[in-house]
Amino acid sequence: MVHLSGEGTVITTALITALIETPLFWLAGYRNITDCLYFAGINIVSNIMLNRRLLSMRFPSSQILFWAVIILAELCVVVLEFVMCCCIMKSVYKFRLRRLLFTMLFTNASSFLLGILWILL
Amino acid sequence: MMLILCTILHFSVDGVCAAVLAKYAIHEPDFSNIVYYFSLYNLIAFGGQWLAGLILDKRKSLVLPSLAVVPLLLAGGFVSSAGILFQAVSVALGNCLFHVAAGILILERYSGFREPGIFVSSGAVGLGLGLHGLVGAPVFEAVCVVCTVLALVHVLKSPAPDSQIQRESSPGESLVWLLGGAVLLLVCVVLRGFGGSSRIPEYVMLMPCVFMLGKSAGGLVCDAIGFRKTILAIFIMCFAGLQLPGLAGVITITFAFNMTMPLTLRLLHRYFPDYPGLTFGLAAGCLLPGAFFKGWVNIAPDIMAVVQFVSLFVAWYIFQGRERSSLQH
Repeated sequence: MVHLSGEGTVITTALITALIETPLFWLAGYRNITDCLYFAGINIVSNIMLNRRLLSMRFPSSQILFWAVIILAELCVVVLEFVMCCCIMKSVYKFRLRRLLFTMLFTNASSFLLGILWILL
Repeated sequence: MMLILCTILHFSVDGVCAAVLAKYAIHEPDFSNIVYYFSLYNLIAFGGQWLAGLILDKRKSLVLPSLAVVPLLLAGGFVSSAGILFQAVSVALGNCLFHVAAGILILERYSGFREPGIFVSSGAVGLGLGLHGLVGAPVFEAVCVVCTVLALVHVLKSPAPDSQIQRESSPGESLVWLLGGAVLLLVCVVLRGFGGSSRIPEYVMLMPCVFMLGKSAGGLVCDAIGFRKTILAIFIMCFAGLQLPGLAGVITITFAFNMTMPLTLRLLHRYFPDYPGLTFGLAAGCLLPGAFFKGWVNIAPDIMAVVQFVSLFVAWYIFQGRERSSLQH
């Protein structure tokens, strides 16, 4: 996930994240267009929720604790997106649920790393 | 017919209890006494349901007598000369017995999600009308007596056929998974106790109507589109409510949280089909933490929405696994 600071950037961040993660989802083998659109919507919803929560939180001063909170929040998003996909997509049951979970981990980790690279560069 | 009678009964029973307690509270100068007797009432009416449910599950022949005795217990609330302790305990016992007995009838006679949703929805409106003195206790009591007689006659005339009563034995089920799923469902109920009971002083009957509509809608939507899509719709509604400002946001979130009520109740009953009273009582008892600690414990609504959504899905998934397992055996 890409993280930008400020309330006004929450929607932009969510859209950028969906633009990064949806093609990765497609590349992972989920080729149904409807499912890809659902995935984009799910991404926008989960990302807005995550960023609003992070913006309203008081972070610990320790760097380790800060990153622990961020990674925990990312894992919560993976679980949330996985459950949302299970609820709405038909094609996920053609594959194994474990594969969907790994796809969620892969797409979220990719956009998270891209976000860190964006900040560093 | 049974559903309509039980729904009106629920409305009147909650109305009597609320009106009796409200009448006492108006004339009581000491606020700590009011808190004490309201807490005592809640403790017996909600906290006692699991025990009453377990007893009625074991002694099914006591369900109808329990329903018959409800108007008498509620009438105890009118004996002000006996003292508020007697009044509070009497109406609380009446409320407790009614919920469990009528809950057993509804859960066993119907198999869908809509019926428990419609049945429980009317209580909030009766509670609101009684608590704010908009309708007097004698009116509620009269409705209660008439509906109880009609309900008893109806049940005696048409006992539920065995085919409608769910008896699902599943030899392959794992008790640990079942208990895990049940605990997740009860966690959802606890969260609903915190998040689904807002009050707006300017419009006293607005929120009770939202509770009623939410509970009814939850069951109706679930029967129409299925469990998974309903919990997703509830989550999306919570998300939309979190983005909306002011009253619109509060109403949307409260509506969505109340939609989970028939889902948790029916799924819990499907986990333990032989114990409808116990499941109904446990679901009611889990509302107690919200009633007692709502002011002290603050749980963010977005976290509640996510936990509820994931818990409901996992509980449903465990139940589906149990169904598959029982089919294979």
